[in-house]
Amino acid sequence: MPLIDFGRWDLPALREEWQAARPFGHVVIDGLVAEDRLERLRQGVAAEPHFPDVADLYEMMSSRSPVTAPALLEVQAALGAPEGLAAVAEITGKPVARVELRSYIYLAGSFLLPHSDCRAGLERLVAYAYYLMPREASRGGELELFDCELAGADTVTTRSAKRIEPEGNRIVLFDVAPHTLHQVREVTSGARASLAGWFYR
Amino acid sequence: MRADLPALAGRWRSAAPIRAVLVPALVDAETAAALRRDLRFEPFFLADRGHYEISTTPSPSLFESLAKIASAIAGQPLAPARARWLRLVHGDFALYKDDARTWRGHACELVVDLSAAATGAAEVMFSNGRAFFPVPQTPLAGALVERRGGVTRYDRYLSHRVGEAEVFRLSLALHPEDPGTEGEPGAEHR
Repeated sequence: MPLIDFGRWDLPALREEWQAARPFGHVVIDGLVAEDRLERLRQGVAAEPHFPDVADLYEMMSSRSPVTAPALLEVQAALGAPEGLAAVAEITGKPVARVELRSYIYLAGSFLLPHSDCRAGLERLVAYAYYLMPREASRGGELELFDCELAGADTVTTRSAKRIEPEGNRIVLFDVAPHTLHQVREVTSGARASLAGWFYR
Repeated sequence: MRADLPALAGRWRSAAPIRAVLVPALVDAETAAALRRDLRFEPFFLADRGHYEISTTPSPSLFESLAKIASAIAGQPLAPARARWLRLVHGDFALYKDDARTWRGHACELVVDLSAAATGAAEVMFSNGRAFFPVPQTPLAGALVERRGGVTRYDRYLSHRVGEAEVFRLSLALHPEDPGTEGEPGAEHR
């Protein structure tokens, strides 16, 4: 049995969901891996070295890239396998060709403030976040999407449009573009563990 | 003002890689309390810049007295060019991008904390891209920072750990005394 069974994904339905999603393209897929494989992934996160990462936008613990724990490398390999890339390409309509993955731990007080993942020259096409811990393991930490109006390089207005709960074994795929502002709301208690990164052209 | 200005001036001259010094006791408690009571703020929110309340109310006599302190430390006459008062609570922040949109190339910045209490958080972080100069959130104190050489700032996100605390701070932009080269105090740049 593969780690991620992309054959279970209803790709036409997910593509419709992506296209209809507001404030920008995204889909939420629950049950990414079989429950009996999830514990091994959690152990992989525990084994992976994480380091404090602080900037104006964020404060959290993050792994290096590439990750080193075999269980986490298996997730990256599954997402980056031909079936995984084909599934993501079909849902998003974007020609994704490779994936990058890092592991993040948000303890109480950690956050990632609103930003777009769009960076000139990096060719990130689709972002993703995969949550590993049961929801009750932390408070806060929701992925929040913003509706925003741009005038050239300047943001003119921004409005919170959607909050996605970091449920365990849930993956969120979302669009990368200058207007796709999003944040991870502050974790106020407990611990939130995620694997996240981008699909590239 | 109880700070030892000659000592601060000496520290300023040798400060590197960012020319900056922390300055104790820039204002007295009564002045800070009156400002907290009287200033009127407006909310500001652009998700990718910041979330805070702002006032640009002029306070000429205070600005002049602060400019004199800054001039003594910097060893050159400095005049007030622009003032922004910020009020921040849990959930508030101001990113580098906000500084890039609001700072107008002034020579120096004087940060003054007017809060009623210390939070143990809520620092102002100055950076030249390689090094940082953190300004702790210390009531009545602040810092003088030279903003040449690509020095920018951000106001750290206030996490739940600050509880119900409110942080009040003044950012006073200063320029070498040469009338007419920069904006008037209180002029706002959003």
